[in-house]
Amino acid sequence: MPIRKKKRMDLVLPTSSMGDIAFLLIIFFILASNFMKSANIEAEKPASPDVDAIDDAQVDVVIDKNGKFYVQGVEVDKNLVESAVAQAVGDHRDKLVHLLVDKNLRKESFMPAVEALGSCGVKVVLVGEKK
Amino acid sequence: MRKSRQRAKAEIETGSFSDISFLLIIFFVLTTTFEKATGRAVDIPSASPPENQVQSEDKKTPTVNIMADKILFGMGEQESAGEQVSLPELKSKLMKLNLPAKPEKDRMVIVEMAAEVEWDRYFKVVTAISQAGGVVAIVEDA
Repeated sequence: MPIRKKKRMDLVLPTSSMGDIAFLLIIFFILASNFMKSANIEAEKPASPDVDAIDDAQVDVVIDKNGKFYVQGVEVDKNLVESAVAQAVGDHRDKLVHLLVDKNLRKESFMPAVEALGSCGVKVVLVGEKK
Repeated sequence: MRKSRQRAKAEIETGSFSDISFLLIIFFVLTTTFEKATGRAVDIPSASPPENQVQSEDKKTPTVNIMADKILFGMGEQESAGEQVSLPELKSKLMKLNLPAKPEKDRMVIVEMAAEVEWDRYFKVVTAISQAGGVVAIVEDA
């Protein structure tokens, strides 16, 4: 009796849907990423042992190493910080405002921003590193 | 005899789309830095406390005086500038006051600072006050 040769199954990997999967992954990454609005602003973070992980900012206020003020990544005059923050916050006073100030700046440079945020009555989080 | 012109078929090559998109994914994965922001929420009063309030409660309001080289802590005594403390000492003194258990107006900690104080120093003191449950009230220069 002749021995029957076992038929080998052809292993074919379907690749036609790979493109769709890849595009879905890209869309996921783009939507899930939180792009930093102040990424190109040079400000050295201060350090303190009393900091913890914080929620993402809804409004970003940064004072860079040259003492320039930025609200949501846009440079503003130091006298207009309060109105710029109020505009960014709108009616939602419970929005989280992150304040990042270059660690080497002196009182006269950062105090206007602190006072402006105090006047706005918003929730302020001072951004810094844990040390 | 007239030859019928053959129309060139317009076709977009889609075979390499998956390669391109995977390259994009690899780019995103490699360039993304997953960073969790760190900091501390601080309570800043909407305005400086009224002058008369500070004066009347001066005797018992904790006062922190930040200078370029030292930190002074006192309970609002006018006659003394307060005692010199290190940051951990300041924290333990504020902890002893049990500020979180008090109403907001009694949680006020007055912060005075010299013009040459840098943000890094101010940040350390303010986060320590906030950690202890205090509300920072900044005294403006006259």
